[in-house]
Amino acid sequence: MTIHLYSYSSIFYIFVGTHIFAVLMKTRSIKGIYPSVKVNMGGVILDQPLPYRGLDMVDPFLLIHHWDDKLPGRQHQSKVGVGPHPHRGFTPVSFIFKGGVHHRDSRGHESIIYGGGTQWMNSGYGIVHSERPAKEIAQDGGDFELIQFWVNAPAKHKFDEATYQPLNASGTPKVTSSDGKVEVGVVAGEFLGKQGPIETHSQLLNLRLDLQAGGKMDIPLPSDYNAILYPLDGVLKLNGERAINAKDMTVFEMDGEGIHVEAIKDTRAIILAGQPIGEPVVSYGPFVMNSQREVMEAIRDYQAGKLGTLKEKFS
Amino acid sequence: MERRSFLKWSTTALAGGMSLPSLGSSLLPGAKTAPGLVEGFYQLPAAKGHVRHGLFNLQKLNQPALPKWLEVFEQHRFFKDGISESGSDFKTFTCAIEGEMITLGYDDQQVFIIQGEEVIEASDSNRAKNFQILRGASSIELEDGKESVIIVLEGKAVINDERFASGEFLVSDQRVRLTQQETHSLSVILYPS
Repeated sequence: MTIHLYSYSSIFYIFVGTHIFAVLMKTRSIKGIYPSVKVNMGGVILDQPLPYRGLDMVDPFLLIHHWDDKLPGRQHQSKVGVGPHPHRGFTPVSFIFKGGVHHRDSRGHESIIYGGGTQWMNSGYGIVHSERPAKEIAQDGGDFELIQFWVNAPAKHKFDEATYQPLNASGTPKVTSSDGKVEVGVVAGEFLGKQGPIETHSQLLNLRLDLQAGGKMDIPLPSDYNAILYPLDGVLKLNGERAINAKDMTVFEMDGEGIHVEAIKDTRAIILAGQPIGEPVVSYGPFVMNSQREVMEAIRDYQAGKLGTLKEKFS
Repeated sequence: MERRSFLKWSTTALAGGMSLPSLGSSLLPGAKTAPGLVEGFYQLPAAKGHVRHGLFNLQKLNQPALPKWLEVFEQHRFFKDGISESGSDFKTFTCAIEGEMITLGYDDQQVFIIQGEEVIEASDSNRAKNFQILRGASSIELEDGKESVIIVLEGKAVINDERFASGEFLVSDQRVRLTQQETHSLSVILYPS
């Protein structure tokens, strides 16, 4: 029995004052691996691992879009990125990896967040926003990379006032592995004593991982959270047994206390974990509601201008 | 009843802002000349498909064939699985009749109508003051003397003796009979007040 447990487990350490406790962690088994597919999102070609054919969502996560581009330069900012569009009923989040993203919205928020930072928007009752590469990247060219993922909002928060939380790289708490080769940015939720600064509508743990080749780390996850891992590049070994390639999304069973990651190559990855909301979901285009009627009401309110209007100003 | 010849736009999209001269050779003489079709029949551009997220906004179509009391907007198709087109997608059709917005939202199960603040789940043959929908295998006759626009949104329809496919529409002020034989067919008839 002891041998069996060990073969599916990993050891991690808890620091309490000056004492170090080694804890045997039962790792979660892999439920499925889903390769990204290319999609056209309003003219922008993206990698999309979620939704996947046969996998509509991993409650509360509805979508992962990976946008990796190299801008040629000599473009006006108004001609690049994603122009004004509405949302209601969920939280679109952008983790920025390269370049900068200029956010503007109908509630008056405007900010540019660069690599390592996060744009966290609760769309609530409704908002119209645009997401464009920063002006200097449009003009001078350069790398532009982000992941946008969607977190469903519980029904009781779907009609909240929309909010926007920008977070820079410097404001993102970091945890480093004992071998010094894995750095974890804690965006939302609590991880090994660090609290992510983002306020959320449901229980979440959202992490950014930067792993050097050979780096290893145990990632404890609350046992009642669904969990996803998505590597942007590189190769990872999970739980000591399974190699995961770039742009392949791994979904884990809720049968353990965490996962063990080891970088075969330098790798950047995200971990999205969250307590399932367990409510009906009707998701069409930019709206995520609990019924089809509510989607129609969102369309009605958007057409009536109730989600606000956004007139972008370009300098 | 006098027969006339008709013009039909090709399937080339007449998306917002596109001017008539840019159509070039896409303006084709039509072949449908059934009795009672007095104005002409045309085709709307295909609905814009959306993966999850999408880039949804309302774009008015520049469709010169439409009467002045009617504006039609780009149609949208929201993919059910968030990835690609399927028979269960949710679609919208939006127009403004004398400035009043009407949106139909429909999939293979149900039809919703938005008019003003109201969101109504439509029955098979809804009749409001300035529009009517025809859903499924059914037929109606339109009276003489009042201009109307008949748009086939889904499936096929027969107007008098002519077959109309999804996206095709007719402008008429004569007595016509609209018949649908497929359960998923959906047409909308729009009138000025």
